[in-house]
Amino acid sequence: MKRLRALIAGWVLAAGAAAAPAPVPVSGYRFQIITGDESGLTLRIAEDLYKRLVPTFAAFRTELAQRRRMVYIAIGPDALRKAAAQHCDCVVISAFTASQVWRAVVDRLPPGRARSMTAVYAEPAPADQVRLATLLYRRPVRVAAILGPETGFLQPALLGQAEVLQAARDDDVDDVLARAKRSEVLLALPDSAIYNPENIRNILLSTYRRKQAVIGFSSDMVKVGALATTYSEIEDINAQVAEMAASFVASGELPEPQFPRYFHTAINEGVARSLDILVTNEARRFARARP
Amino acid sequence: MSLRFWRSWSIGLRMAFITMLPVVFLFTAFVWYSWYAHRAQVAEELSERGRILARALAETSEYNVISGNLTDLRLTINGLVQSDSSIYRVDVVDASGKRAVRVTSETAQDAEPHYYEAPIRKQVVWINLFTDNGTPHVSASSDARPPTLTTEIVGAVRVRMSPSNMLAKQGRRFRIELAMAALALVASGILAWVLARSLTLPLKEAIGALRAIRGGTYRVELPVTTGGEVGELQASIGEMSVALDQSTQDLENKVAERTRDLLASRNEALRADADKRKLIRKVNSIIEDERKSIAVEIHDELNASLIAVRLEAQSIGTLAAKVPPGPEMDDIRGKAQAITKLALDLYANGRRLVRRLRPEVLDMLGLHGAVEEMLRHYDSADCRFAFHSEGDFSRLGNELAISAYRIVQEALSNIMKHAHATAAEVTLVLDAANDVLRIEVEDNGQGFDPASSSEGIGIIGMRERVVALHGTIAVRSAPGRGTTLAIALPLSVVSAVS
Repeated sequence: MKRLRALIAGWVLAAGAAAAPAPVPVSGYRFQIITGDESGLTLRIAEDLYKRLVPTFAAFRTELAQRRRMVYIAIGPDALRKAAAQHCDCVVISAFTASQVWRAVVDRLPPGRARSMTAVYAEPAPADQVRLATLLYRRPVRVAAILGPETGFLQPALLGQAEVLQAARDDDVDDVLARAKRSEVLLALPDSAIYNPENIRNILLSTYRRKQAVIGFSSDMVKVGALATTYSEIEDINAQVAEMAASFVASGELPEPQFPRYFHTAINEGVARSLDILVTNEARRFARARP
Repeated sequence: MSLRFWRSWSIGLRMAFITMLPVVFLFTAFVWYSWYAHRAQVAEELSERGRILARALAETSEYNVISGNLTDLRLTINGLVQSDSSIYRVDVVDASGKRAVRVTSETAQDAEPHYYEAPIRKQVVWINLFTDNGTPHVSASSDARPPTLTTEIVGAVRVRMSPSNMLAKQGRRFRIELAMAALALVASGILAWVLARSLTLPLKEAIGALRAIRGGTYRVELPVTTGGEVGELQASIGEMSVALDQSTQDLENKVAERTRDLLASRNEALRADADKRKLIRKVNSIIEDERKSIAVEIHDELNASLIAVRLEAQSIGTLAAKVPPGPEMDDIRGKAQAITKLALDLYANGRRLVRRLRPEVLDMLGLHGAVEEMLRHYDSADCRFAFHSEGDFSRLGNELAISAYRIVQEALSNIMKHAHATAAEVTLVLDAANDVLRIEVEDNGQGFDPASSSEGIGIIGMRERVVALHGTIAVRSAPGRGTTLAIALPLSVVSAVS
């Protein structure tokens, strides 16, 4: 923990120096990892991320009067808000934050500031999830996805992939699910207005009773009853963040927010048996490994 | 009742009591414990099943209560209630307490209230749903522990259990256990009886053997039928019986041998006594014969010579009277008179001697007259003698008469010498009917203690004489009370011996 504090403190000092108003032209980049808490998970993410970012930023020598542009790496929603609150000529790469939360934070920022921010979303890419469903059923399946008021921005990503069901804030989730009864697979997307701890179990039960499979957005969802999901390890996300930072450093252009590129697959074999789905090795091995 | 009431019990009863007491205690404790355990088991099982059932139904009812789909829930609960006879009724109520589902068993009875309730909680799955909660969103599996949140109660499941069916089942089991325990108790009782009998039978046989031995039957048959202490007792009694029998046999042999010896000694003594009596009688007879012979000699020879001497001396005196007087003649006459006198004295002495040696008065007067004469001879002013007689003494044998005479003579002599009596009485009774001569001499003298005083020669002589005649003699005396001598002499023995 001391190590994390020292790491963050060092980066913050550097950021402070960089924040001083100076007309000196930008001649390099530096980075700072911002964390929202001091948990073991965060420490692990930060340490791995630091090791991956150092080679990218090591090329820029530290000299007096040299102005280097700050690249903030925000780990989690709290860190994202901290980073968004920075008033500086800097860019922010958000990681380990779901697209809904990212969108909610960014939407409140001025457009100029928002353009200096990008993200690697925490949830799996819908296309990968739909592909996984196809592999599980070994045929094209009817996939439904429920989008709430705050996740409507995902509709383009789902276009052609799944039937999108719009749910208002006061809609009963059971009623919404009833509308999706023709679909074989429910693609769950992070949306606190739709999925919360109090109803996730009922959603799983309801879909099970309707012989519907749920493609979750985390391994934990698979553990509690979802059929399967693609998921990304910390190292997968960090690798993608490092690639994104390297791209920015190389081109000066900040990439668009993107879903995780590297992933693995988790399948609940019990649920699969209950749904009479014969899981193939192809589905089990469905993944995209980081380099 | 005394605390030691068992002391009068037989060993068989004690054995059975000792064997059965723990078994009865065990049986009683087992029965009570079994009954209690079955009841407790019913209560525990009912409670456990009720709680589990209520909790399980609460878990499974959540979706139905929340979604309002109660048909499935009713079917599920109905199937459960109808298949499990220990469930009496299941109620599902919503959060406001309004009854949503009620299913009552068609067979179970609500005998006792066993009521269990479990709340239906909205179940929350604590996973990271990528909400804006601050923590990093990681799609990979995480081990982050969820926060603790209070879950909402959306209703309750109330289960009322019926113990009747379980009680019936446990009752059947209890009856089987009771029957088995009773069977074990009976078996224990039989075993105790057999054990007690295996102990009491040998003991009874042993006691019987001991009683036989006590009754004098030393040789008893007591086979060793068992082992252990009782077997050792049987063996010991058998060995003791053999030893006692052997010892008794030896003793009897010794007694028989001693008896034979004693009989031989007795016979020898009797023979010696008979010989002695015979000898005494013979000696007495010889003495009397010798006395008689001496008396005859003295009477016929000596006294006749003394008469001749007196006559000669008288002739010398007569002749001297015819011779002219002179001193010589006077001297001769005086000597003649002295010789005459001396011859007369010697004759008188001879006569006394003859009388003592041979009481001729006995021949002349018989025993009665001789004793009467003897009393007159002893009678004096110092001691007066009386005589009393009964019976005919004329046919009395000479030997018996002499013996009786000598006995009376010795008795009177003793009175005169030792009794210092002033009066004495002699009684002769000839009892022809009993063929006995009774002599009794009684005086009023100083007497003596027969136990402490030794017998004098006189009494010993009398006893010897009486014994020789197969008679009996009794001396009764006490100091200051005189002495009585009683003698009985058989009449027939004398002649036989003679």
